[in-house]
Amino acid sequence: MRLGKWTPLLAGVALIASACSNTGAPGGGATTLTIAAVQGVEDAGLKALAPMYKTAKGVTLNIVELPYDNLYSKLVSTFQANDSTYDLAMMDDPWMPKFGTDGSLSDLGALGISRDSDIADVVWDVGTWPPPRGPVPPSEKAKPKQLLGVTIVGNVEMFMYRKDITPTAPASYDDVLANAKAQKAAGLTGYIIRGKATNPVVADFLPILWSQGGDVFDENWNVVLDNAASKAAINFLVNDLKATAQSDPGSTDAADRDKIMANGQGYQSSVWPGEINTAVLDPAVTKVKDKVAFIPIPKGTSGKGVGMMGNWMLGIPKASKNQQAAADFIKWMLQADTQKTYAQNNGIPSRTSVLKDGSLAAANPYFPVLAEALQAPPNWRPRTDQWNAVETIIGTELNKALTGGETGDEAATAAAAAIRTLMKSKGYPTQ
Amino acid sequence: MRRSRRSTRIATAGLLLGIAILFAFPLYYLVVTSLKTKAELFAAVPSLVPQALNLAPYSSVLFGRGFTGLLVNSVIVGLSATVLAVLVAFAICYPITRLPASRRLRGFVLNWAMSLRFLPPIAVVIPYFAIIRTIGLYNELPALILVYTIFNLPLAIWMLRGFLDEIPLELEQAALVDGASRWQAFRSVLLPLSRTAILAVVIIVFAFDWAEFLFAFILTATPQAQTFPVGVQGLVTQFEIIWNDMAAGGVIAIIIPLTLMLIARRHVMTGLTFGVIREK
Repeated sequence: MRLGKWTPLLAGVALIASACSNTGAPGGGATTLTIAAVQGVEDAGLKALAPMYKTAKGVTLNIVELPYDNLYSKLVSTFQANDSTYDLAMMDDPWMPKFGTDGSLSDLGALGISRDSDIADVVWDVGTWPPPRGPVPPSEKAKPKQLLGVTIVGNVEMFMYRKDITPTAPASYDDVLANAKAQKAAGLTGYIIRGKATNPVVADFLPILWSQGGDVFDENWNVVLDNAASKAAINFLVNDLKATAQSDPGSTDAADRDKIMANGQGYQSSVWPGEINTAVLDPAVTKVKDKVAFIPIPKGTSGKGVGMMGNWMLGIPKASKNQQAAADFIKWMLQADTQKTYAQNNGIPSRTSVLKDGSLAAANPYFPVLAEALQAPPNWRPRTDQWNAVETIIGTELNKALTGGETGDEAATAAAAAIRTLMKSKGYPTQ
Repeated sequence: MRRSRRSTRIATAGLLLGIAILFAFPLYYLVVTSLKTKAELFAAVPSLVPQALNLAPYSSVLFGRGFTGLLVNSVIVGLSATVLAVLVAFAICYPITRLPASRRLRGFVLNWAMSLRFLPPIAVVIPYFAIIRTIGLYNELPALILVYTIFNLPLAIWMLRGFLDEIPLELEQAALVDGASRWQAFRSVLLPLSRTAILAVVIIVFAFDWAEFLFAFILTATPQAQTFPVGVQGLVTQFEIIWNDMAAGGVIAIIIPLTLMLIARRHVMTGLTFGVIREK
């Protein structure tokens, strides 16, 4: 009876005690590998492989999913704190310069992972730091080249259009614009712009910029975003394509673009492989299942069509206490038979023979195009640890231009000036 | 005159109805979205009524995505931090309301508590992260319990102090005169009279703990210590926003605090208004 009066207090103390006792990590050593992964279609294949790896090797994969932006900030804070929570980290390729510069990742070569000729060179190059080609940040030039990340999601931006309306694929951005105008007149969204500020609009724009002969930096880190070719590319997006686009391009992200396309309201747009099976070809939602074709980025005024990489890689944090076990998982994952199983479970492989495997093409009609795009090779975003800040500057100005806040020329000038200031302040020989 | 009064009443009712719809509609839309299929979410024109009672998003959130563990974490952290905050708040409020403490001391304690409440969480999240890492509590539930207790302590102190001020000192003094010890007077007189206060504080503090996101995100790394809000926000992916699962998560997140609020709304309202008029 007397105890009854104390029950609430005792219950509280017991609750706190139970919370305090729950401090052990779930497993340890090489029996469990904790993987920081991006939430979404990109880690679908990885999740499917987890039970198979447990069966094959007796190692549990503890996959911790975080949204795109949060994963980056979580990895930065975890690496800076030298925390050993994660044994493997999924990384978008533009993050590699930051983690490479900070020395956060282990050299995979030293752990027994080496190049394989069935996987495109660019896939290995993008995980190598310092970068084997293109401008190298001044602080990184003296560092030895190391393989810090291995691609697990082969991701190159492609182009999609309604083949039921125009059976011939657009060969150039002139064709893209001509088709866009015609389809706009016919009541469709001629070109769906993914114009939401920062990363989304930049991802949509860079293939256009490169294909039209523009760029953000030259080989010596000089900003060229305000040269004639770059300005023309910006104006092409914010004037010409915008005239044929949906009503609110400035607030459109990938999910909105996919909805427009899947509903049959849009004619064409750029597209990431990850968007295709979640919406555009998802039989549960799409009205255009067999009506969409996927092609490499059309040619621009430069005479080339330049796709953009968005490969997702796996790296091993230096602080991980299970280095070799983590590397063993990567090796297992790269095996041809694992890659095929991975592809059959919504993974997007990078192995050429798997991408060209006829038995996978029906469910993934874009695989051969992706294989072609990886061999092209596509461009990667400038390899600087300042890329996030640069992308924010460009993405903010482009969004302003798309929403009518400034002209294309003003956006180019403002973004270039801000990037010059930033890069100079970080020790780059930028002019 | 009567007609004018009637018009005023109708206008007031209309205004209140409008406000009620304004507040209730997002909640309604949340529930409706949680019952939609992916195909319905992709419709060009969104509907206000789901085509069928689709409970798959709830099953997906609770079982498919394993958020049940996060719910359990939320309950443990919320209840533990609430119990701790109320205990500490009581320990602070008792002397400043029941014992002959100087006006200066009272003012100092209450102002100190208030200053903690005005501290924006974002301003201290990095130092907290460093401290929690240093003491080895990163990615552990006790880290959240500790931080939530600290952050909600001021609220608990101010609410409890308002209640305790309203309970006449003479009741305890009478018990003391009758031979009771101070502990007995506290246990037999003050504690029973404070029941409403404690209930109100518990519910409000728990609601704040339950909804907290920033610290839960920064101070945890895996589902071992993550709370429900951290899981729900993860449903916004790069290429897809899983609206129905997210809405189901929202509905689940609302159910517990809303139920508590409905059960004890009279006490909570009292708790929120106590001591507002009278200042001692």
